[in-house]
Amino acid sequence: MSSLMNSWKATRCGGFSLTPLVLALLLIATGSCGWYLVSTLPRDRFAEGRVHLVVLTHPDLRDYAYFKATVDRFMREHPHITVEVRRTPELYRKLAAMIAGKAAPDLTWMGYAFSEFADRGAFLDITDRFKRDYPTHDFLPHVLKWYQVRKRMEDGTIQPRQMGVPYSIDMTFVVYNRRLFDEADVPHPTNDWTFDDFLGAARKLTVRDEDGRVVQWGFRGVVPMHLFGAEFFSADGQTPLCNTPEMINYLKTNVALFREHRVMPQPGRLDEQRLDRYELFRSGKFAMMQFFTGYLPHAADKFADMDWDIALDPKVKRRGQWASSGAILTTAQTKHPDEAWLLCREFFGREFQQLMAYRGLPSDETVARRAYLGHVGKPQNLKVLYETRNHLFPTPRVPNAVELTEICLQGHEAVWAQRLTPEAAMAQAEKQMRDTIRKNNERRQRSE
Amino acid sequence: MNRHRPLTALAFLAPNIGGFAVFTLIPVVAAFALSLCDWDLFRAPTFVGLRNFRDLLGWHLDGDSFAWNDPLFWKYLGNTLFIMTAIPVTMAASLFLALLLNRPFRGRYLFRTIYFVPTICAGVGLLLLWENLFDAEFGLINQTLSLIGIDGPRWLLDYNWAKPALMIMKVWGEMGGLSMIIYLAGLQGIPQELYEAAQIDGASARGRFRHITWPMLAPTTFFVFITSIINGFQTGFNMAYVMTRGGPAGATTTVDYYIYLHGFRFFNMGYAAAIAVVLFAIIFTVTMVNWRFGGRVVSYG
Amino acid sequence: MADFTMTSTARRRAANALSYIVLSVVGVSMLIPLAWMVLTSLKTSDASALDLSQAVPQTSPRIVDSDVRDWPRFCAALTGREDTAQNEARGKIRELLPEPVRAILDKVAQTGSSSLMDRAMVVSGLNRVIQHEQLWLDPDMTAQLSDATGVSPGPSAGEPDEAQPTYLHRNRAILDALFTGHVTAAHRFHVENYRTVLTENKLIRALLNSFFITALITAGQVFTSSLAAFAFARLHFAGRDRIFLMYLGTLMVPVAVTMVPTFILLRELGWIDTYAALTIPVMFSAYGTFMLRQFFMTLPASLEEAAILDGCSAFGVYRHVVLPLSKPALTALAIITFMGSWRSFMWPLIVSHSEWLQPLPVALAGFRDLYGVEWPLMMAGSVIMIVPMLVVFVVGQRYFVSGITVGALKG
Repeated sequence: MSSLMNSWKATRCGGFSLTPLVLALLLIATGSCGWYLVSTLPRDRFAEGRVHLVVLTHPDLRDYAYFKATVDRFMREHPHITVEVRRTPELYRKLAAMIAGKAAPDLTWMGYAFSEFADRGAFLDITDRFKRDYPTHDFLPHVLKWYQVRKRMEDGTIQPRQMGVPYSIDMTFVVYNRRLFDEADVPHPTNDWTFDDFLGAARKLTVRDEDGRVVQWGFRGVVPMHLFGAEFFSADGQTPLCNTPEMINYLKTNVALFREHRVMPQPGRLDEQRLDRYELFRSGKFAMMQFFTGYLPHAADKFADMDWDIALDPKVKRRGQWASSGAILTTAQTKHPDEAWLLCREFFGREFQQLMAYRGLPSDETVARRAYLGHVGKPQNLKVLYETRNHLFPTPRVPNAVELTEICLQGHEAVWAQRLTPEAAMAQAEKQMRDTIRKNNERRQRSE
Repeated sequence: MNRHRPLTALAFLAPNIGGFAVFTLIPVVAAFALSLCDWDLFRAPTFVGLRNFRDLLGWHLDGDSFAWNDPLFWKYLGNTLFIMTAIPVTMAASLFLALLLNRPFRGRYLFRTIYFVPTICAGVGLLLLWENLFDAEFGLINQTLSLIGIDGPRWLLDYNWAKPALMIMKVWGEMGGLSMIIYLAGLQGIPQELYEAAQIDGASARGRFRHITWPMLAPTTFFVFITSIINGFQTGFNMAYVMTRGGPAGATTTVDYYIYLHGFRFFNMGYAAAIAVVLFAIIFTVTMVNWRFGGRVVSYG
Repeated sequence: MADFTMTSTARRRAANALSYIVLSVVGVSMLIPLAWMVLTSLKTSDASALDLSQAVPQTSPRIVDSDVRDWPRFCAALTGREDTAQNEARGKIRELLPEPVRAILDKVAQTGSSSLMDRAMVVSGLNRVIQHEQLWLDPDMTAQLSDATGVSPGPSAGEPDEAQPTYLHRNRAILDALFTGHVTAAHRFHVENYRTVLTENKLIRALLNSFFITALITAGQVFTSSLAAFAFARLHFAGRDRIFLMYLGTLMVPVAVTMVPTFILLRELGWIDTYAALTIPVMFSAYGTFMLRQFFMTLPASLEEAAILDGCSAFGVYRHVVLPLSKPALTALAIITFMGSWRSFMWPLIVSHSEWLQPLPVALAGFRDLYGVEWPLMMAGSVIMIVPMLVVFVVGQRYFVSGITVGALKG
């Protein structure tokens, strides 16, 4: 049988001759690469004896330039503090993992998920510091309230505590194509246009070809629910309010818009991932679109050679805009609360708000007035966002807000997809929300 | 081989099993332990026993009618199973391609590469491209269909068509992918002489496939099937997250996305772990059934 | 009468041809996404990325950052510091720029350095200028144009619109004419996107990181898995199948719930933000062991028995019999592991913070901000990410050698 082994060795030599060479090359390449990478890792970037702060933020390049400029200025003014700005995609997931692993950053950007994190104690209570450093201020008071959490104090009372201060207010509004309006001879939206004006405009601006297919839609999005007086849940988050006549009216009206009047396509969710909205608007396929302040920088770029402007939502039962906000907050796990607070102040200070005014209404009234009333260029109507600053309807920041709104939004989707009638969908959503609230209350009690 | 002492086996296993135990096994055990707790990631976990499982799998009486404690879980499980019916189709397509591209003809390397390209390109950009192709008004698919005179469905916005849309995407993208190259590797392992002998005996192409290829591929098929099942149950996260957000009305939410929702959106990590444990139990059962049923393919010989 | 039924050979040939045709047609559809990605990577950011009727890049009238060769010199030229006859015309352009942009021009010309923000503002200002109708109606300006390029100024009455380039293109042509040598003329295929992507965003470092991490993971996975798989497939020991079931079981738990426990474990070890965390935990996945075990079981036992009779130890059997026969499976595993770790995004994101350690997918995600995508840059980065995977796959094809030369058995 040794002949077998010999013949095996013979065949083996033929097939493998090149492989050891390739493997050896790969080994050398990997080794030298690794040596280079590890040896060029920056060590001791920050000198001993200094306080090192880490700021976690989303990867937007434009914002990052402003963050960095602010941070550089801060470091010049406070030589004993070094700051590192870390951009990361999937911010909330990464932040959650870091907090779970007790490796949280000192400051972090925060958007809609504020209540989820705040309710679970992620942020530093800055009430006293804020009162001390800002005895008087120009921040819009109702906006400050959005960042308050009710906590049980040592003396047993429940008081609202300030967890952070936002630097900008985001809201939804309508963007419209002036050229299409002019061509169809439709009056431009005004600050007090009503739903009927809106419907009339959308009707005139929906154009079909000979086969009846739509080549230009009047509107894209939904007429938001706060205009109808509808809410997801009560202000304390304990009662679902989705099964109300106002909500049913909201659903029915929007369904009529795309089934009966046919001025808009079937709505989906207005969410961050649909990245074709700019192209759709630019190609003239939509005369009006539901828009968001966060989209404005991209709009300034991509709609530069178009004739466009913005308008507030039409009045239905109420007037106002849905709002959210952006803030940079100090985390509770920070090891240097005082220095973190110093840095945090920069991120809602007047200079920073002025820089960030290009993508949201500043929360400081003075800055907002200067930036928005004095705005030159497109959109010409930017000032309406300032004028509406007292008519904002955010989703209440209550515990488990994300879970509850998710249930309700799924119910809405079922209506848009014509799976369920509005009444059936909202009845089901109400029941689910009740169950969820109950479960979450039980969980909360168990952990206390 | 019985002559070899267990020490030899240990020597072979040693490089792998240490790291496996620490980095793979311990987190899995931790996840199982988490399913018995409430954990919101921020505070320490609190032990709650089997409550998560009761909330997930149990039922209660709502007045007179039967109601699940978590009807959404069952709905999403149904979604997952529905999407998984694409697995046999993909496996068959991969096997077919592997057979075709295993025969010696010019350009087979080129074709193998071409069919592998979607797997290589897979990522957010590709998903967004598909999302735009499926757009109900202005997407290319509906526009092409209207040229033929068919009024295309609303695809990702239509409750009934969202899942088939995703399945079309999956089959197209995966048929020339990993399954194909695993099958190719398996086909390479079949000794040529068996085919030569069969040809001498006068067997037809179909006969050769049935009596040589298919049985010899049995362990490979088992592997592809099991990993497809495992991936199938854990699939759908990327598609749901990037394209549909689980919509419309939960039509494209799979169990994997549901786990992400509870774990990282609603911060009910314990509940998410419980769902994972149930998922594990289902997959394990299916695997065991296959193990027993296709017993021959798993044991020596 | 002629016999029209086909012989079996002809039938076989027809079936071959048919399958070849179907293969090609479906194959073309497989290449469409890659073609789209490459074409999109060559466009400017204002071009439509998703409108498939505009799939091929068009000459864009807008100026982009990388069109300017040397920014300080360009700013000096714009502010009239260069001694040339075109200064008067250049001055007119300067006047059309907004005040903050003019301040930036002075600053850059004097200090000799420019930041990303500075350049973005100047570019944006110039693009507004390009939209000015009065630019191309101005006879001095269009004189520049016709001097430099021979294009006639202004449309003549009665000429159809399609025959004239749009006024945006003409404005850009005027700008190009005024700043020849400073600015690359408007063109179609913006290959410089790749340069931008590689230099501006530290993508070269990310590429090296990806290479290093993936090579380590692939080597570790293939090496340790093949040894363990051999043990499970061919050796007998107590509890073998039970331990293997445990391996299999770990594959069935979704990664979302094991991610955080693993993160905490790594934090206890102090490995967070090191290369160790990026490579070592991933190496020990059960996937490779499972796959190779299945493959090893298909190998004919007779060869191994022959080797044992010849006096081979277990390791000898492994080395001389099993490994050579397993080239396709090992290659397949190497390819799969390579691709999996080359593309992995979530794991590196969670366990590393520093951008010095970032592999490619994490670095590429930086092109996606909250509300919009820089399509050309992101696609350029994606193409850069795809090319090594293609290379690995093509090279790996060598090892998918058909069949086993088992002629030795007969002898």
